[in-house]
Amino acid sequence: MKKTALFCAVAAAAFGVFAEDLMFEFSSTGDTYADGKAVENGEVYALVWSADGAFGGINKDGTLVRAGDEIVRTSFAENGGCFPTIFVLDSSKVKTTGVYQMFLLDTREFAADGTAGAPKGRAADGSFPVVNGYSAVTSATFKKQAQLTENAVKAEGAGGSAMEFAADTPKPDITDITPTADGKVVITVSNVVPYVPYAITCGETPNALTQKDVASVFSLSDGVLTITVANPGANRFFKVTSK
Amino acid sequence: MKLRSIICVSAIAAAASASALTAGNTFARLPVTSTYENTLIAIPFAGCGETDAVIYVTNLVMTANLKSGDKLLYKDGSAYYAWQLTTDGGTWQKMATSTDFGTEVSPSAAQTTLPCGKGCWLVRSSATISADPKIYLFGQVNTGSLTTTIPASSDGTIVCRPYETGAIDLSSWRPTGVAAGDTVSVPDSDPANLTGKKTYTYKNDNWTVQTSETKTNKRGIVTTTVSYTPVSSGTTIPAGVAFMYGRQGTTDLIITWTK
Repeated sequence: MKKTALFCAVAAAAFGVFAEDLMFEFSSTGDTYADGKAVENGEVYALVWSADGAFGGINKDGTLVRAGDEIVRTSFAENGGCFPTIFVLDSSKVKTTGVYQMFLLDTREFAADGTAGAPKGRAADGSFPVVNGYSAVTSATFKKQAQLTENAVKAEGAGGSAMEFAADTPKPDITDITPTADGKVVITVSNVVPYVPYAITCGETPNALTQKDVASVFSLSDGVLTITVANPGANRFFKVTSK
Repeated sequence: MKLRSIICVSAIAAAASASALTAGNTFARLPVTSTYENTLIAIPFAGCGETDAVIYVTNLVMTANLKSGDKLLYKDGSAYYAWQLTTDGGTWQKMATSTDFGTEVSPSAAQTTLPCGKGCWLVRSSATISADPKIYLFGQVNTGSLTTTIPASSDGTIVCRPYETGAIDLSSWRPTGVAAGDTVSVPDSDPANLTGKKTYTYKNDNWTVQTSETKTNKRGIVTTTVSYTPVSSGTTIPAGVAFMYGRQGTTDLIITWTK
């Protein structure tokens, strides 16, 4: 997924005579999932509010990890990006502190063989059947829109945001390491899921795993994955991480 | 015998009119000058042709002088509809709106009608405005009297005078049923947000400008005095411009307009 976040900080507001609504416009193009595939039609984009701008994340069942964070509005993907959307917020409910951010969710449901299904999206009751991960979105416009109140909404500059996976995504385990006759090392990893890119980090001592991303691969299915390190060199210690 | 006479008269009338065929309707191009990024524009027409007695989104606003990214928004009750141009001078493309009631894609601009007497937002970029500040509204002119209904105890219904000519002079405008506390708001400044607006409050049988003065006496007691000054003659809302009506009255306000 793209790594750039767009923040919208809501400055102090003095509400006007009318209970008019605030509007934020958002659209994006060229968004991808963590596995590099273009975002599927119907995928979810979420306008998220957090008190400190450090969104606490989402569990695989769509519940929020941290109390207080809030998914305020959602829209959907079409043609590889967020469909041009105006998010309408009742001015009386707009937070006057904190940070609004836009995230792309990965709600694809994977078959046992690793085949990606269509995004499950958001249910009518507001819940999410499945959330594999989320990422702040780039290539987007996110700005204030027509309003008739004294609310001051300020769009701020972009910042970096690393790819995150659902908080309860299984953690990978290395279960076997096999050297081959031609000097390679084949690492067997269990507890993997198909939407996470895995990478091997290695080093000569356990506390100095300085060789990052010496090999990376996607799992083709839930369960077990083998990663071949073609040139392990003198490295004897290996660790698997999400890339 | 009587029938023959009638036929004869009709024939003469047809012959007389053969040299001057006149359409039964008149079209208008109503220019609205605005330097605001967000402009409340009127829907002053009820149709765009004798056989098409409705105004579609695609008909109301000329897009030739608008640019990619410009938007048209319309609110109907709690529902929002939005369209944008994706090419300079192009056609309105659907946007989605996400509200408390869910996320909905607006219907096609070519299939969405706009109600005469209400208003909508036109959102233009600074580039559009600097190239041509004028907004052109198109439609078939209305001739008879028309009514606009404003719901009881409602905030911010966007309405307009449903004609291409004339203005509302607030110093003399007294719609039947207007109630004390009703408000009229018009954009005033700050093109980015419409945050600058003038609000007139109906008080003592006049549209008034509210002012307040705060004083602190020697004992440190703060008092605020609110006063209402009737608007001066010439405080008008021109044709083509919509305004927001805040209804304090507990019954619907039905405004009857005449040309």
